[in-house]
Amino acid sequence: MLRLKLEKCVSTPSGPRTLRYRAQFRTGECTAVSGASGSGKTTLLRMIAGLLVPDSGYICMDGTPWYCSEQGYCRPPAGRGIGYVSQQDSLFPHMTVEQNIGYACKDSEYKQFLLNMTGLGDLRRVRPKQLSGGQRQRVALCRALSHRPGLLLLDEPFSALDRTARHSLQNQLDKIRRILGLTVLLVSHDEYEMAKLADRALVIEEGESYEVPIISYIRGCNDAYTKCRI
Amino acid sequence: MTGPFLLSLSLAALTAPLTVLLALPVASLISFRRFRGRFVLEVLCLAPLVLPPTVLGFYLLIIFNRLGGCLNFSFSGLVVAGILVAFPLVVQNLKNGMTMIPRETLEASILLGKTRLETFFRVLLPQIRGGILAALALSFAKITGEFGVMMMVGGNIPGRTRLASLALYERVEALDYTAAHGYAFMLAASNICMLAVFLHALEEKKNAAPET
Repeated sequence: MLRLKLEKCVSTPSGPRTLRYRAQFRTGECTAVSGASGSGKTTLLRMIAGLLVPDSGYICMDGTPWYCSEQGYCRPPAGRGIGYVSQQDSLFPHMTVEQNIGYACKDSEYKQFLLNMTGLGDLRRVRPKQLSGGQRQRVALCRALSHRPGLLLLDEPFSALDRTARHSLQNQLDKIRRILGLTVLLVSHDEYEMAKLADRALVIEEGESYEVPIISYIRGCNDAYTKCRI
Repeated sequence: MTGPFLLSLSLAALTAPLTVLLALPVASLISFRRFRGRFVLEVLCLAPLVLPPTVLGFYLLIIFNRLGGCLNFSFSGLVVAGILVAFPLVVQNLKNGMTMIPRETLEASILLGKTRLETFFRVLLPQIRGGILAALALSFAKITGEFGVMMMVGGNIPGRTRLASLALYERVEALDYTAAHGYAFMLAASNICMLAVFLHALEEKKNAAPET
């Protein structure tokens, strides 16, 4: 279980603002992180990943501290075992699909499993430049899973994709996370995506965060299309 | 005539890679780290670009004297001077290449459990190949053509520190225009070749840049 209580002061166009987070993420569950643009969703993910240092609080994964301001302890990002997929293209352009996935994966069977699960088997020798947006995100997802992380952080990974590619990737992600028993944090603005993938929602509003079951969150949303599909 | 030209070429061939090696960590420090004194470091790195060559040469002579004088009027002294002269160009060129790389690719490598050093060699360096080649070509051209600093530090000693640029000056002073033409042609041809390499590297850098 990932437990955290964090505070971070950020500068916004309207002046400095303190963001407060308090949450528990159960192992094997997918939690959707929701909130308006600029509410601090990416900031939360970056703090969990260790790419951004909080001002105070703690992060504890399965009883192991990752960050504790009282003890002045902060585990470096490389030691946290996190998979991270962002909205931006972060693939290594000088490597092929296979090399990207194999960068942190020495187990060829597991690499093959990831390639097969995401349907990238035929593209293994292709460089990222030659791939479509959907294929690139699939490679990014595979690469993020390549070192067998305990926690997968997804920061709007499908937002730049068309509906077909998005649905196909959502299905693949859902399948993979269930097989691997992964804890997932998914930042998204798409309520249908949240309903499809997440078990719970962490809502960030006015600098505070609270958790709700996904069904309560969706009932409260105004998107008729999502409600209809669900 | 070939003696000074070969000396110039060997000086540039030795000094240009050394300069790039020294500039790589400095450029990555300036590009990716935020620390107190970063601005001062950048100013110091670029200072040789704006200092008059004779001033730079004079200060180098003073420093060499303080160090015992073994570098004065020697090939080793020319190597140090060459590094100093080419350093700003190389740092600036490498920095430009490094800042073009999306931060996310470097963060991805760190999150995949790799060290900063591994990230530097396996992710950063391959992506700035074109920048490194361009920096090599630029520093090579700069060093072969440098006159003021080399004159001050090397002293134009025949067979030891007489570079092609210094020999050209000396031949013009002696009104030997045939030899001067020879040196001028060789220097111009070698530097134009380096310019071609530089432009080719830039083209490669442009092609290697990630799509946005």
